[in-house]
Order: sequence, then structure tokens, then C-alpha cells
Amino acid sequence: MSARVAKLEALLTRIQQRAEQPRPLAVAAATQDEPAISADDTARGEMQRAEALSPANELDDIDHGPDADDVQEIDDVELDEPGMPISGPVLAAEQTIDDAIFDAGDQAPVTPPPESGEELTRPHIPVNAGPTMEQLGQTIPLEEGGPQDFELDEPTLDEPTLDEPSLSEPPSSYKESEALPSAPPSDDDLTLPEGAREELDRIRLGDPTPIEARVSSRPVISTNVVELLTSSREFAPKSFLELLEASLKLK
Amino acid sequence: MTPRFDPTRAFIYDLARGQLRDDEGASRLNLPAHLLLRLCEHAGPEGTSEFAQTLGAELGRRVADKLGSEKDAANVEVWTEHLGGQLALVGLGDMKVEQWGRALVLRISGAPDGMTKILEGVLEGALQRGLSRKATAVGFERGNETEFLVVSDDAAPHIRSLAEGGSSLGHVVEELHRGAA
Repeated sequence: MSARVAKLEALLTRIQQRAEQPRPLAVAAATQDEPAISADDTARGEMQRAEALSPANELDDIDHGPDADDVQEIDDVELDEPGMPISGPVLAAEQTIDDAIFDAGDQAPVTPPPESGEELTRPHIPVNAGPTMEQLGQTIPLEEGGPQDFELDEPTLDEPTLDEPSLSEPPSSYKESEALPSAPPSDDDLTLPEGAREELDRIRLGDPTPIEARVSSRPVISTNVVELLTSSREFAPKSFLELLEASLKLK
Repeated sequence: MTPRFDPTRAFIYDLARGQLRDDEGASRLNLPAHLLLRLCEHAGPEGTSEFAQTLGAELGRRVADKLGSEKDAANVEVWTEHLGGQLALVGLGDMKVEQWGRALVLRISGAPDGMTKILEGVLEGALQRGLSRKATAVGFERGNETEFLVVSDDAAPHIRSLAEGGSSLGHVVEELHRGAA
């Protein structure tokens, strides 16, 4: 058992040393093309690499290489079953593995497993910190676009522009006392109002009582509305025949 | 209850047989208005007046048949609806009834041009057949509409002379009321 612990410690020491060394160029080039790798992925990769490093070749150089059963036993005891009671040296080895994982992850925060009971420490985000120097260094200059032709609608009277004041609203400096006197109306534009001639005739005749017309319009089809424009106050016939007879009596 | 004017199926076009009939089954013709005016010019004033009064009598009969026993007691609005509807069906314009004091004025708009004389006869025939009253309609052209003052046959010549002399309808009505007072 102690020999196994010693081999594990030697293996972890090697992993730790390998984690401190710069990565191979091929791996770095691959990470540039691939999406960002989290700390968990990095640690997991280190563990897989440690397992794939043909333990027979590595460990055989030291003492005698462990067989496949030993490796499987290590995984079962130390990684997959953290709740099992373990002895002191094994616990020390676990802490060494955790340290290696943290070191391999470029000091990135690692989310603790939910069964660990540890609370996730949220990173402190400064308020209004502004862009960092790294972000400023990554500013990408944009190419200027080609010439663009814009067509602007001509302003209408309803849309006052900045240069032209609104025609419907007087300017703020407008004063009623400054209003210009209106020009006298032109005689050419005058039109005879409807009913003006009849009114003039009535006045010339000297009759002070005006005659108002009571108009009945034909209702619109399928409606029951009869338009009544004006009404006569004096004579209100109850029937059309009564109005006809009254009109026939006029001479 | 006073019946409403109903133009439903007033005219039926039977294109397969090339026929046009009204709701009573009588044959109809759809002719251009200017051809009718030309025919009336050749017929002369008397012939035109007789033709127009016959047409008006036909319209007045339809109104009287529709109103039945209520034709004499029907108010102005009912006669405006029915007589105006009959005129509109044959394309003789939109009629309004106006009361100027005690004078009855029928204002028609939208009729074909040159129809004043024909409309005078049509209105006279409709009133005589529909209400059994002998009346004369004197036209006063006013823009795109014509006002027809309904008077007795005795007063008609004087009023017609006033109208031909350029007197307005209002002037004539005032004069009629002074004479009646």
C-alpha cells in the first residue's frame, strides 16, 4: 500500500511539473481555432493525459509499472467516490491532485461540485469600470463605407423645418400690435352668396317678414331618415295634399 | 302603417331574351336621354307636354297605388320618398320638397340637361293622377338644379312671365304671398 502511495505521489509530482511547463505548439494552435476551453476542461484534459501516458512505460521506468487493475483502482478510490472513508496519505494525495488541477487551469475559478457543499464565489464585477486596457487594445478599425446617395422628401406645409417657422403658428416674438393691416378685399374675388338676391328683393319690397323654406329630402334607400333642413314657423301642413292645396290658392 | 318605397326588382333585365320589364311586367326601353330630347324637339311643345304628363301620370298612379287609402293623408316626407323614388327610378333626378311659406316647391337635381320642360309635365301629371289636383309646375333653373313652383293654372301664366323675365323664385313667392294676404 505504501508503495502504491509513493507511486501516486511520483505521478502527481510529474503531472504538476508538466502543468507548469509551456504547452506544445500543436496544442496551442488547436486552442486558437477551437472555442474557449474552461478550467474544468483543462483539468479534465490533464487527468486524461495522465491516464493516457501509458502508465506502463512511465511507471515501469521508476519501479515496476502498475497493471490496469491498479489504475482502475486509483480512479475508483480517489476520483469517482469521494465520499468513501480514506486514510491520511490518500487524503494528502487528493489535495495534491486538486492543487494540480487548479494550477493547470491557469488560475481560473473552478465551480465546486454541488455535493461539496461549498458556495459558488461570484466574481467581483466593478461598476462603471470602463473598458480595460486589453479591451482597448483589441479595437478593430472599421472600413469606411462607400458613398451613399440620400433622397430627402421636400418639406410640406404641415411639417415645419428647422429653418422655416411653422405657418400655422405665429413665432414666439409675434405681437398682435405689430400685425399688419389687412389689405382691402378685391372686387374680382367677390361672389354672390346663395340667397342674397332673394334677400335683396325682399328688402326692396319692404316686407319685414322673411319666408323660410322647409325642405324635405328623399331618404336614402333602406333607411328611415328624412332630412329636414329648415322649418316654417307659420304654416305647418299635416299632409302633402294640404300643402299642395295651399300652394294652389296662391295667386 | 304607411308603406315604404321599395325599388326591389323595379326593373328586370332579361338579357337572354333581350327584354327589359318592370315589376308590373310592362315592357320598358332603355334609351339615351339626348335621343328623347331630340324626339321631343320634333314633337313640339304640345306633343312634349302631352308625353311628359302621360309619363308623370304613370308615376303618380304607382305612388297612389302604393299608398292606397293613405295617399291623401300622407305627409310631406312620405310623398317625397315615393314620388322622388319613382322619378329616380326613371333617371329624372333627385327630388326634394320645399315649403316656402304656403308655396310648394319641388327642387330636382341630377336630371339630364334640357329636361326642364319635360319635368314640368311629369310633375303636373303625377300630382293630377296621384292626388286628383290640377296644378302647373313653373321651372326656375338655378345652376345644375331646377326649382318647380307648383301653382294653379290661373296663376301660372303670370308666374311664368315673371320667371322668363328673370325674377327669382324668392321674388315670385313673395309676390304670391302679398297677393294672398
